[in-house]
Amino acid sequence: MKVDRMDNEAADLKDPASAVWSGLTAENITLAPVPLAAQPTEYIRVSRADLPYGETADASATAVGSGDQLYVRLEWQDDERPNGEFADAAAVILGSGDNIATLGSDDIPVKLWYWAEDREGALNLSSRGPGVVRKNPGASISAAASLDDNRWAVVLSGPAKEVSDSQMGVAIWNGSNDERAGLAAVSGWLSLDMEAS
Amino acid sequence: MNETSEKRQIAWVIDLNKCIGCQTCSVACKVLWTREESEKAQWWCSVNTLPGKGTPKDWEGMGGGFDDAMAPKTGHQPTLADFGGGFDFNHEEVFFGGSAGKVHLEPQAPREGRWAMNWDEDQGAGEWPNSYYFYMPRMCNHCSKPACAQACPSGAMYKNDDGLVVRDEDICSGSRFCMEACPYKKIYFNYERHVGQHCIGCFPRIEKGVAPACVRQCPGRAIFTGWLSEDGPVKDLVMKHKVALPLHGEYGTSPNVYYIPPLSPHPLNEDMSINAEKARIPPEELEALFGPEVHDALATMQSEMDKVRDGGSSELMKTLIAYKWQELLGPFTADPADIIATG
Amino acid sequence: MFVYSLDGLEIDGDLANDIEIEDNEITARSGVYQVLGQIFSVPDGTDHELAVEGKWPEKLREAASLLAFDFDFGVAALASSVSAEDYQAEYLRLFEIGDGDGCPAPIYGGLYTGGDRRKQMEEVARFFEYFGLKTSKEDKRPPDHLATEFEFMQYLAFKEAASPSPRLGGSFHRAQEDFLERQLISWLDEFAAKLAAADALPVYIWASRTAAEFVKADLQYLQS
Repeated sequence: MKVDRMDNEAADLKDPASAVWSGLTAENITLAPVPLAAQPTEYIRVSRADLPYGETADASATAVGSGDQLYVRLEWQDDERPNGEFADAAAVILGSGDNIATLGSDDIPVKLWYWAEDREGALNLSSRGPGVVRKNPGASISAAASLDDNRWAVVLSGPAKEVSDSQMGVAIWNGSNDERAGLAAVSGWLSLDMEAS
Repeated sequence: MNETSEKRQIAWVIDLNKCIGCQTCSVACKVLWTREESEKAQWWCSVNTLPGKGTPKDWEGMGGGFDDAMAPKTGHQPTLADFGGGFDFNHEEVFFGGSAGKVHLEPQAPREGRWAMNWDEDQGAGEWPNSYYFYMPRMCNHCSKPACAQACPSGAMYKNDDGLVVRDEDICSGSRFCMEACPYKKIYFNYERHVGQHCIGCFPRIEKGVAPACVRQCPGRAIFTGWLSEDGPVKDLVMKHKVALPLHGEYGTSPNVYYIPPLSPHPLNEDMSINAEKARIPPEELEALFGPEVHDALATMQSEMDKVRDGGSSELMKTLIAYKWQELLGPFTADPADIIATG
Repeated sequence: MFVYSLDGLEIDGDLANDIEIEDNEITARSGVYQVLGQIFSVPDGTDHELAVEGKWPEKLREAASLLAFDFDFGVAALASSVSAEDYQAEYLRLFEIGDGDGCPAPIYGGLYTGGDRRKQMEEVARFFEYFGLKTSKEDKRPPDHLATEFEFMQYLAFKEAASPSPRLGGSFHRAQEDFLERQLISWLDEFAAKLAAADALPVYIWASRTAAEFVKADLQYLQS
């Protein structure tokens, strides 16, 4: 997907409701549940065998480079608000291996720029499988979200150098369906076409 | 993690005949480990009245643990509402309202539909003169087959060298599968720090030779601790006398907190004569908690008690009476005050 | 040698070991309670003879010979004109049935002190149970019957005397204090007053006063 450059708009880009975003073309993304068989513990595989998860099938993404930062705006429909135990969440996935469907693997991790409705800011995670995550001590990232007419819009941003040599994907957790860890909907890889400044 | 640990295992034995439901263990634990605002609903150790719904409300129906083939069983993740928000008292009114003597401290409305750690305390069951109840302290069972640790996707939980189930909070991602998988529902969630939390067996104390707070603070001398494999009251009560039994052993997790089931007086007949054929606490209810072994355990307790009553001597009764309270502490007899003083 | 005897109570389960103990100040108290229990049981022919011959105070004095405190058991005898049948009828009139105008002085502790009788009965029954006793199936008296309560005191004092250790003995000792305070002392004064007001046979007025005074003196002794 194309990454537009907008070097003078950094302040506005952090706001998912900003008019800056409406002038850009969003890429449509298809998501699918992380496979049950890939879930890391027997408990999760047994308990979720008959409980559907990861059913958020469509989202859209827009990416902008500004200064040394990359801004990714995600948007998706979510008609039900969570019950308070689990929050709606989303992540930009960065990596290059053939393992995005399982959110990374034991040998090759992926990075997650992770936002959740019930947390301040964002987490920079390293993921080696569905829910097999560690906090990355690396670069700090940030997130801002808005909910309008049951559509989430979330902007995740971090250093563009984190993305070099990477492809990008998206994961979405539906809080009202108690989704967390590996119980997620995940996209395939999108190649990032960074526009030269 | 190690599924069949060869490591030593710390264990607890709680004598339900001596527990007076004073909640000193609960409070000793609370003030030591869960004082933060975000830990308000957490009672790693709590005493419930049985029969009763306990904490979280109706926890025995929430699933988790393993089936007979050791396959995990789906469990419900207890919510904040299940644990209950606690009591709201009229402190302001009583202490500063200028109506001393007229207004009494009491839980405030709405009382319907609410729950708390000991909401159904002293309720029990049955009709006078044969109503009955007993107290049961509960904490993490530090199971030998910890369903919680096996369910954790991020590998944050493990058995430490002393057999305690502990959690690395830096690794815990707050996914709460442990709370679903634990059949005893003794794991809590910190909604501010986004990590699960549970009884850590006071491991920093254990490592310094100090007994867990619940054991050391018990005024009723009702809780023993020690290594399951080393000589001492814990090993004797569990292995030799076989009077200490796991709670809901059928949950399949091999818990390491053992209970001495409560003996009870005989019920009274309509004419107030004693019905010597029966026990006031129905044995079948105790069997539902502690398994069929409970009948032998109760019989042993009764016969040893009778022996002493007839002027005889009983090693088991001496152990349970715990004439010297240090006997309760197993090898962990160090005084916490000394530890602090010597740094 | 003192031998205890139970009528209204029986030991639940195996019989306690028969222990021979020398008479002493504790068995003396047990003996007094034994006689008091007999005095307040339904009188048979032998009891009638003892009463007519003025033997009740004598039997009490005999039992009390090693008592550690002074107590005056007084003198009382049943008029020889009162037949055994009349004696028994008087017992039933005073204590059990009454004469159509209510029972003048019921012999059941639970009917005094103004509380719920069944709660009093429960407490007494639990006292018995705790010390391995239950009310006898042969002699079906409610647990709060005066004679049964005296029997219980007899048993506790005997067990104190027979205890192999001071610790166990102390437990029976404290139980006697509790039982006197919570039960007998709480209602015997009122019982004696009712008998005095009921135009009862003088032997029963004497017996009730003696009993009411003895339990008070005994508690004082136990607490000293």
